[in-house]
Amino acid sequence: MTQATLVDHSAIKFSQVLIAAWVVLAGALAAPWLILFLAATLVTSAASPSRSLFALLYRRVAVPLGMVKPRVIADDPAPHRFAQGVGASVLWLSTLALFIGASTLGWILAGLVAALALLNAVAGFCAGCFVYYQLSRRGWFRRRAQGL
Amino acid sequence: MQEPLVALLILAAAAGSFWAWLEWRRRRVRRGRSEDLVRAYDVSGTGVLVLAFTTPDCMPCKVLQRPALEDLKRRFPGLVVTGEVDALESPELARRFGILTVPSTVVIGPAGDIRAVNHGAVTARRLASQAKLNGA
Repeated sequence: MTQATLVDHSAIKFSQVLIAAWVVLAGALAAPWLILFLAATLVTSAASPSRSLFALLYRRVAVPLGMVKPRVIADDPAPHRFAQGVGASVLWLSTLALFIGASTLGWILAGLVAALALLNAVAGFCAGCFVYYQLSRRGWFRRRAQGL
Repeated sequence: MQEPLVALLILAAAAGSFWAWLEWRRRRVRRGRSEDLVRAYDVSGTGVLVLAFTTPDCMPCKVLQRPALEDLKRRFPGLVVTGEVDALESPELARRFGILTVPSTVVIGPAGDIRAVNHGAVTARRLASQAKLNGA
């Protein structure tokens, strides 16, 4: 069952755009440590969304300066946190690849996270929803539930 | 500095291929007709049918797509008929429109012509423009 609570969708979009911009900056500067920092930030964000750097920037900078208008609606925060957790995991793999010398793979993984975040923010296409639907369509979740 | 550029090129090629495949699917779907649905949903005159594909646990369907459909109906009273379809309960219908994710919306004209297929949540304004509704 899903649990509805209030979720600010502008804050989610803000963090998605920031993730994409951050990866672009890291790539332009060829700075793997920026990807490491982003991975750590996303872990914080998934664990405690209100305390993450993105949430702080959103609340203290973006909203007061009128850059974005809050859009709070009843929603389930769990899928958003899950998506951030997946993003963080991929970014940790990216960091690992970057630091062990598999740089191209590392940048591809970081770029993938940025591209999917941007696609969600701009076009409303949720990669997590796509994967979940495709697995459900193949009966993966039902089979798993029956097996439990 | 070279690796990020190589990665960017690989990602751009992958994104381009995915977009081309998506566009090919959309064009193939749009060649079909759906008079049966226009009749089933009792779409009359110059009205359009907007089908929204969803699943029971799809939150974006409830918090983003459903309000957009209600907004569309409010803006164009009598011109828009909407229907929600559980994509898991109606796999044939989902297959007919090449549904890849939820929410997805399909805009069908009064003659059964498929005007647009959207993968992901879309706004009322975009749906109105795809449905070629006056004032959009």
